[in-house]
Amino acid sequence: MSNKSEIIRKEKVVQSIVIADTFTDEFVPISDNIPHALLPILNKPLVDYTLEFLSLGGIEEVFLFCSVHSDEIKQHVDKCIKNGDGWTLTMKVNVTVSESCQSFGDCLRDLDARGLLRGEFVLLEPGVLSNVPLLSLLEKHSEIVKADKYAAMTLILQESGIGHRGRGLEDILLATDSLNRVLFYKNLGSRKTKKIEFPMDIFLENSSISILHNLKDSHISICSSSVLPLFSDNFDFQTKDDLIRGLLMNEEILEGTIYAHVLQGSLFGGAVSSWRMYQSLSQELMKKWIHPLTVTRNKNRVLKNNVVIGAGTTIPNSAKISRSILGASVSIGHNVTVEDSFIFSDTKIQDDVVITHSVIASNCTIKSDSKISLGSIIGTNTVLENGTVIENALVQSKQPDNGDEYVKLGNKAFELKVSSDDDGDSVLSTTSKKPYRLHITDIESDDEEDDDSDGFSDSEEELSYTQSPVPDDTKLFFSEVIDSLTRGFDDNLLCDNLILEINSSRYAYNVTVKEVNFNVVKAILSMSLREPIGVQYFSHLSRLLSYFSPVLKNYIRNEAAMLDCLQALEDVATSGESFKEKWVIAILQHMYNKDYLAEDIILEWYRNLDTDGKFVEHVKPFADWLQEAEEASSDDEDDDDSD
Amino acid sequence: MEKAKKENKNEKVGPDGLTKKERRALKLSARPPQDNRSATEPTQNSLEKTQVNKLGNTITEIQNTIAAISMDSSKSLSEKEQRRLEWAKKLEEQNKEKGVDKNVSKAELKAKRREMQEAQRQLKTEHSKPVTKTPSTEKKDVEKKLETIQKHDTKKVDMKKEETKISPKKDIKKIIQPHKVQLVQHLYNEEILKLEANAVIVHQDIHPAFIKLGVQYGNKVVLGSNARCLALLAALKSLINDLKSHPKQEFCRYLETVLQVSANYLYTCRPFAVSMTNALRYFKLQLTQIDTNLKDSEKKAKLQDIIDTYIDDDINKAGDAISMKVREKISNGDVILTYGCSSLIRKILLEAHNDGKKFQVIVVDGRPLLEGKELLRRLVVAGIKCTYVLINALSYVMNSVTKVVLGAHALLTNGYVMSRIGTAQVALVAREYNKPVLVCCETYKFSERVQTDSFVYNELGNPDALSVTHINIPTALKKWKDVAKLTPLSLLYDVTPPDLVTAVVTEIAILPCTSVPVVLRINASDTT
Amino acid sequence: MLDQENLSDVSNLVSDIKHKKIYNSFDVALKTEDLLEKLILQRQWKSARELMKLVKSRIKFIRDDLPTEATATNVMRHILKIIREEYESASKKKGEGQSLHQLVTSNSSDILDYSESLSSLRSSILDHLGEYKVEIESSCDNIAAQASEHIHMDEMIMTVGKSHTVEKFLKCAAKDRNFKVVVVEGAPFYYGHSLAASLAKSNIQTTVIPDSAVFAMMSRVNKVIIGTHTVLANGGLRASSGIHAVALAAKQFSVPVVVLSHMYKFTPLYVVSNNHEAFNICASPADVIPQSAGKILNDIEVYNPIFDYVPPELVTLFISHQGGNAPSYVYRLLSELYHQDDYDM
Repeated sequence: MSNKSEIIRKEKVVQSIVIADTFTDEFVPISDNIPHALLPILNKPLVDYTLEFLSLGGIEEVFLFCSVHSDEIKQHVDKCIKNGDGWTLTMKVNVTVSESCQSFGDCLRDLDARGLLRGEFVLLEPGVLSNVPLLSLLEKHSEIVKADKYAAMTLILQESGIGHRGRGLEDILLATDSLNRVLFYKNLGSRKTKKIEFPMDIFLENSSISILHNLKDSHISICSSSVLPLFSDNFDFQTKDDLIRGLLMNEEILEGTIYAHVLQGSLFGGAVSSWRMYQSLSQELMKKWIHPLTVTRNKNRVLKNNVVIGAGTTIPNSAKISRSILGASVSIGHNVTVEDSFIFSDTKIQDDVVITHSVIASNCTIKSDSKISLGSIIGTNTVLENGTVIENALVQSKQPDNGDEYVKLGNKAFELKVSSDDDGDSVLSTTSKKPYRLHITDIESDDEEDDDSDGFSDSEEELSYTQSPVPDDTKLFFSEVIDSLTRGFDDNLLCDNLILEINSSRYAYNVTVKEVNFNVVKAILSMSLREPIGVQYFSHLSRLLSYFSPVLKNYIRNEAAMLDCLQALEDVATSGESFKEKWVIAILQHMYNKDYLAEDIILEWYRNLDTDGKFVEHVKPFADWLQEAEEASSDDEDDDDSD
Repeated sequence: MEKAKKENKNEKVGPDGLTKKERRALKLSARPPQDNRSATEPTQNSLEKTQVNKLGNTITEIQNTIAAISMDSSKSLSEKEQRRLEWAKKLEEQNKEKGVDKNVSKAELKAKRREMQEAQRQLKTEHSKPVTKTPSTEKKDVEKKLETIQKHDTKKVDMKKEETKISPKKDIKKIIQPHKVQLVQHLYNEEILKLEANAVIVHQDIHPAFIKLGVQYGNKVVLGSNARCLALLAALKSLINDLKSHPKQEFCRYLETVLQVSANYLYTCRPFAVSMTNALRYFKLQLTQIDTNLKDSEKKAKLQDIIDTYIDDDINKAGDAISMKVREKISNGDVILTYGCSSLIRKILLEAHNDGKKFQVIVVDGRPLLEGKELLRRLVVAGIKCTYVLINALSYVMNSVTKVVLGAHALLTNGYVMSRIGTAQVALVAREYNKPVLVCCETYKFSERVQTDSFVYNELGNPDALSVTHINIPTALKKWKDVAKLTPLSLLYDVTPPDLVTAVVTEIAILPCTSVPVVLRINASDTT
Repeated sequence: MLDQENLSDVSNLVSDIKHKKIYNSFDVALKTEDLLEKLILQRQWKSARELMKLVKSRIKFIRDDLPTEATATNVMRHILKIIREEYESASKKKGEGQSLHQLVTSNSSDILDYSESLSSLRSSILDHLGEYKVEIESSCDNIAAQASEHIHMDEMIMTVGKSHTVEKFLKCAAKDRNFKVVVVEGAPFYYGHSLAASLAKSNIQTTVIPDSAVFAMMSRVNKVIIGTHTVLANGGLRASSGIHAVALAAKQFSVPVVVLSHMYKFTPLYVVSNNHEAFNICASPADVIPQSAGKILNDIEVYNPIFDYVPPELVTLFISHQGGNAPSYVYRLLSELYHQDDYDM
């Protein structure tokens, strides 16, 4: 009783939620045996770093929410309390279990139902490593809430340069207004999109907007008390991204706004959400970017070449180890090469093994002459026989029982066949190059360049409804052009309007510029052929041509267009319709005089003509004349009208 | 006016040297201004004119242009005309509002009259307009200065002074006085002058390339003795190219006078580097030796050739020679320490890497310029394994270093090395740990000056740069201007005594520091 | 059994230091002293030896967890000495090494093993501790009081970074002398900036220079006055990064280097090398090169050391609350502060 009143009188306890489970398959097969929270990073369980960070930041009560492997996590927390670890002195950790949760959203709904949280709290996604002072951020959030009572969440993002190793999968694009309110949020992930679409109203409604593309997600958010009810109310919110998107799209209905805070300087935040992040965060932890979180000195040794080894590990002289983390009691044989890899504790590596860019879980045995490379993950208790070669694969020790395809490599080694639509990255799948699980420098940098160019063409294909013009469309276009031109000529319409009509049909049928030029000229020429052949022919022709001169002028603007025009002429001439002999020459002459066609283009085109056809004979006199007439002032304006 | 602007697009200069635009503008300026447009967009030229006016500088009338007039500038000229007169009108109105007594309004009238005379004089002469060519930084610079000048304008109006001479000098002095470090007082005067001089900025008789150069120097866009010297020579070449012959003077003499004016201007933007002084001196010497009987175009070609040879021999080839010598000294497994960003050192390291030598580099950097980052980036891109530290971590890394290579700004006659501030410290710590220190310097940077400490001759940097961190977060020093007793001091150069330097690598040979006067004598005797 | 709850007080202290809740050496010293006072008051111990064992285990704990933290261990060592002294005086037996005569004439029964249980011991120790506490608290003022002896009119004093002791020292001297101060900013932590701001408010003419300008300014400086983190057994210093370069420059120009240090900073340890784990910590590289630098961060090493070793030849004078001492005298001071047996633990 008195306790209760004490609690009420006591000031608000600073609380935080840590979701322990990723609810994804990122870490299979290792996540089958150990919970994500206990994944060793630099030989210490992940959750230790998270808890240390929280206690450093001033949090007093933590709700550690687990759904799978909850016993192990509970045991571990109890062990820490018994050992008197740093965080135990200032912080209380409640391990909350709910086996039925399937997603991040479910966990939060569960917590909402339990009603344990009061006021503002810090929400952490699984595997956060950071050194941010949380109390000041909580204060800042309170101030924002005072100013805007609907403020639901402050996202903590970290400033990060492009090309930085840890940025690839956590790329965030953000548009904020002058008060740091988030107007647009997009998690670019590993997709190399070159095109982003922004909703127009964010630009119309706000006087100043910053678009930030130098950010990385730290997976830490400061939430108001309204966040949990928001999750409970909307059952389709499964992840934090859903919440953000939902709030941004339905601002009025859901009544929540999101703010963003960018970490600068030595403040660091990141989460182990995938193997790549695991790799990059290990490096950053080792190089002290997350000071004061560091390698525990009394249990690890740091060697040259960026290697960290745990207690009891022995490495013979002949082994070449670089940029790797070895756990406790790992035994390495002779002539072993380990590069850019992670080997957890109690593993035995026998002689002549080569391991690059891979993760080997604890209690494994890798027998001699094996090669493991390119982002392979070997699960706990696996035994790989002599001479096994594994590349870019997942291997686990027990036979998979949930219907996944597998290849049996040994009694205790089963290679999982990864299904093809694993990542759902449609853009990359067209180039058929999924990014490796770990960042591999040489390959990656080439990949990035390739992806750049492929991605570009892919995205063009994606957006296109512009596939190569279907012939039907062109024919339709052509007939439409002819119709409009005929109508225009008959009704004496302004050529500008005709041009507009033609252009709109062009967009309707999605015709390329080349095709347009070609078809327009063709149309005009075809029209001229329809007139009765008689005395009036050439005068009619010239009338037609002069009437359509603005149209011609509009479409025949450059060399390519000129070539198209000549092509059209050739086409019409060879299409079989009968025409006067000098028709071709007349056209050519007219066009040349009106400066639609340049001399050299005509000559070039002439040279490229098929010398057998009759068409050539028609053109020949004109071409010869052209070649002889150096000065334009030569007087053979032979009007073939006389013909 | 709008129409007139449009028409101007393709106009050509008429026989009296004015475009139609200008003629019209002249007529307009004779009439009282009636425009409604407010003078909100101050441009460089209006700024120039008011300042020129108020400081009463005489403007030399030079008929021949140094640069072609761009059409834009002529268009803007008339705009500026308008705006200036608008401004004058505005001031008048201000005066009336404030009920200032006659004295001041008289002064204003005088100012206005002077302005008009000025405008007319300028219309007659064709002067260069760097408006379109200058970088945006210049505009910002200009706007800043405009603010100070506007402030001074209103101050002037407020104070009931009879003379229209501005005393902004005094005002500025009042503000800055308490923030002077006595030790380097003599260096401050230049600082103040700079503030003022930039206000006077554009002389009409300076080639736009030099004006651009001046701004680049002033804003530290061009940093480093080699870079500054090359930029100067490039500007010089374009000056020679564009210079039209003077009817009364011989070409070379005329070029000399023009060059002097331009050099003076450059000096006000930022004091000369030793390399620049040497290059200019060499050029002037060559200028006096040109055969006067040649045609102007031939002279020009010869001069350009001289400059090209100078660059080729004394800068490029010297760099190559030095690079070769140092490369021999670099062996596999070396850890080389360098400070700041020297173009010569960068060249040496990149070429050594291309040769296939396997070495590591430690780049040490110093605030507030943080030039080392640039060097770091280039080395990393080339694939060299690098470490980056600030100068405070020198003792921490010095143990693993095998050699120290440093660049130099200049070598003084008494053997002291003048270089970026912090170099002396690097040499000192290196000596403590017994690491060899090599200074790489081309002979054209050798100077006859003598200096024993870093104060006698130095340059002041921007004190505000010290009050923010490298990511522009303000520190406790942010409000230093309000606290009278607090001054940040940022020097740019320091001198390293010869006993701290193991050897100086020049293109002639690897010398001890004290052999500088020998080389100078050799060079002097070469040219005479 | 003993371990867990017993050492909880020390682990509290250690975690406070780690989390930067107490940062000043002064606060650490006071807190340590409090901790031991509580220990002596509240814990059940029967003999001096038992008590000393408790204290020694705590020293070991701190040394394991925070190898560079010297103040706490020094205070504890000094308290060990106090315990020994009190025991000796209480048991009216002379300890070792009093004089040659006694050494020769003493017999085995005279050798102390501190195992007697003496009733007055507790109170006498607590009294002495009280005195010690007063000494710690007044140490800063005592040092500051000596300021006018060392600073003259119109001098130019150089200091590095921010030391509370130096700040007080200079402010005290400024009351009756007129001098100028040059503060080296101490990037990348920029402590020098706050010191400069504070000094300027007290009307001392202050100039702030970046670390690279030290050699250039040194020719005009009359004295270098610095604080330090620890004074090592050979008279050398473990000071903040960059001070070694300052000391070297001072030597070059024959400028005296005066180090202000409290007695609890004198440690009986020797250091082997600058990069040794027990000697130096590296902080986050983000202070040197920001995260936004992007791609190059993947390929470079960045160091941001916090401490620097300054050899004793470069130090001219140590000023403590008792007065000034030369570096060569430090060994003697140590023997007064700590008992020989407590040096190496």
